[in-house]
Amino acid sequence: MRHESAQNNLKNAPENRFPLEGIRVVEFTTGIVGPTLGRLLAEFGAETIKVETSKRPDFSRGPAPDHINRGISFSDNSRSKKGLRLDVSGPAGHEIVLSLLKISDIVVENFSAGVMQRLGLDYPRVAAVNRSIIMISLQGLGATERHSVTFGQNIPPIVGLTYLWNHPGAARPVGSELFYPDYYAGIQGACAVLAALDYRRRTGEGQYIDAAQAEAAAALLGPYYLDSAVNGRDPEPIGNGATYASPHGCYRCAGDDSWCVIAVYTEEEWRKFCEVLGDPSWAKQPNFSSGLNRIRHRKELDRRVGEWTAQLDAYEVMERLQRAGVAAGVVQDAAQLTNDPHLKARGFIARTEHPEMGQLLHGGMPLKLSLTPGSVRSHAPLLGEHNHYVLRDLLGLDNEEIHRLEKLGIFE
Amino acid sequence: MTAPLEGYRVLDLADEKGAQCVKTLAELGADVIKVEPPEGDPMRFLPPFAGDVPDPEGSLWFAYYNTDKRSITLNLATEDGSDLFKGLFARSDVVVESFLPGELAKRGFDFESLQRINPKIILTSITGFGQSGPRSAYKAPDLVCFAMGGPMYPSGEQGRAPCAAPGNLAYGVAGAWAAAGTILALYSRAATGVGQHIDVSAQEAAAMITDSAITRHSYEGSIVPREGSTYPWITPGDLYPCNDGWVRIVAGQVVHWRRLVEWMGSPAPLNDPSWENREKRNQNRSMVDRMVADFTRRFARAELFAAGQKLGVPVTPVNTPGEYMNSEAAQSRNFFIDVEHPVLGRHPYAGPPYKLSAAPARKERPAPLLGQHNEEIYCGELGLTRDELCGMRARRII
Repeated sequence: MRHESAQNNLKNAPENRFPLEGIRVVEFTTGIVGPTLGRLLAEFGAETIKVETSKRPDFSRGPAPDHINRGISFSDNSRSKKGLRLDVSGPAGHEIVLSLLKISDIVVENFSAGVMQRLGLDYPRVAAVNRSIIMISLQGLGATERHSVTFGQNIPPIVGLTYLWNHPGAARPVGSELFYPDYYAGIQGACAVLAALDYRRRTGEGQYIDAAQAEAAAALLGPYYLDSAVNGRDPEPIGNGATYASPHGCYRCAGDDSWCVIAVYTEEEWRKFCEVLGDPSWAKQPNFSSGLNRIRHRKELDRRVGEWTAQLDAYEVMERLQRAGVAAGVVQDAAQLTNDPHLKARGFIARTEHPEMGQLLHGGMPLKLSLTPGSVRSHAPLLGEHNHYVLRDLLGLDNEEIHRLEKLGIFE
Repeated sequence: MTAPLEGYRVLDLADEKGAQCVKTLAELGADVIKVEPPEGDPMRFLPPFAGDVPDPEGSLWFAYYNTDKRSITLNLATEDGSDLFKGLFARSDVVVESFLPGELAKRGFDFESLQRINPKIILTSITGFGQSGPRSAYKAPDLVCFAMGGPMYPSGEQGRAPCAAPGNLAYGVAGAWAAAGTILALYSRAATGVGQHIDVSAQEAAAMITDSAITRHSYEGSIVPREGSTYPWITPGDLYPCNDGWVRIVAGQVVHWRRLVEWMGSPAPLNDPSWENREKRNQNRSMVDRMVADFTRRFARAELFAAGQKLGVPVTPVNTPGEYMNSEAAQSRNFFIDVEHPVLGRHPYAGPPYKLSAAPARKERPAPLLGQHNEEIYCGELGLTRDELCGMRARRII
């Protein structure tokens, strides 16, 4: 929405804000991973149509009937899309959805493994009506029914992420309640889909993509698996520390639950760090005289650093250190993130006007393409908001036909 | 064509910030040339190392992130080095870099200059805070981006310091966005004929995995608290002990709860349908948690995982990385792929996280040795004689 600040370096380049204009995406998705992928495509210009029913709406929509359009997660992850309310489980609905798939380019689905087969919408059957279609499945452990009760929130334990996401020496795993593999796997999935789209541009061929959320999360832990394979050991959690730097951690600052991370890597940075602290006498102790000594005496050093940060506002700690060339950053909560002046200056915070929820703020897009920036386009669709558009304008059904189908109950 | 990005050439000038982006492009089939300073990419000195011996060819970090690339060495700060780079650049589609904003321009390689040499070039810049804005010059290790982007605040236990994620999570997410943007730019270049500059911020990428923190805050003013792996609003929704470690159970849906109670042997009072009410379970959380834990404690993680998947109960084991590697879940999908490295030997590597039916992603060649492809590229492609290459080496340009 606010990418006007993105530099357009090309004097006479053709205007092409939405590079996926003309591409149509059909989503059979719920939760986060599939919607995240469909949203990326929508915000770069694709027409993304989300297919749902009242019986089985996206579970992040919120409780029916009063709040069905007011799910916070839904309003963010499905913004910029259109909504079609259609029951595809019977023959009439199935026929309509196939006619939509015939004029579409990409299918995104993350229903439990096996559901698309039961709906008669697995890849072979979709490809039978549209040979060049690209279809991606994004389940927890892949498109096999053997591990079908896996999704973003219970994936991190399986791949070793929960085990590693901890303070050193803790008795119980800690982890995070973030649905992080969902968001990450959705964007990794987008890489595969976009690569398949370019492949189709060059060869005319569509294809099927089987993406596992667990594997996306695991792919970010690659060096840990290799450590296990090469060195025959299981790596230990290191929390906020680093094996090769100290101080390197998260320090309590003045105020309630307020924290700042600090990381000092080089001798030069250590000198600057001490300068910012006013060259305290403790910093000159032999214990802290070299990188190795600072790593060996990390606990004592962390305590000293914490005594300094505890007296200061977290932003002051960050700003003083960064001005001196030392890496530091406030552990920002949602309110601080929303009001972050740097994010505002970059136009990262986007807005939508939701008919039931009012004005909403969003994290926009974390990248700016100088020529084809895309943008946040609209509020997340109300359930069935675009039925008329899809049925009449796209599929060419007349009012009489729509009325007949309505009586069958397939638009509920 | 056998891989989706076959035929595109990528020059990799990036450090850790760009590692995931370039890895994705390489796995999807692009021809990636890593351009390293003569002393080697800094990533070659990142632990862990094979046998814990620091060696430029022994970093497992480097080995993992640089498969399917070629390596050349080049000192960009010299006149000759800069000329060679221009030659290479003229035959490339993408440059991925992660210098602080302005650094590349200082060397004469800002986007405008690059584009004068090659109008089709796509320049992907991945930095901590992006190319613009008041904090763009901030130092930005992954930890700083993870903190400033928001996902660190709810991670860890209540009352303790927030806990950073393992690996480079903020860089990883930024890398995935950067790769998506780069592929999109390649796709749209076919229509426009020109390349573009992509500005990726790792702080903003980290903000994309905060469970809609910004939207949630704008709608209801709330901030997600720090509760570790505990779901405060779902019971059972936590880690539970077993006889060999821990499992995760998150059973919020009625159907999941019903199956779990049945599996536990329908103990009173939980067998009463009134417990299907989520609120009631949340209000009696400690009792429900205790009964679930008494049940799980009798079994091993693998037993609970297998039975849970069969019965339709969302229970998953807290594995170590090694346990996942050897698990049926990973092996049945052939996720780990054996790669033979001339120094490290043959080992299983985490593979691409997707299987494409017509043009599969790949993991075939090991990470390159330092400067392994100098002759192939400088002599074979840029027309240097072997004597000239030798002279360049002697002058520390290559």
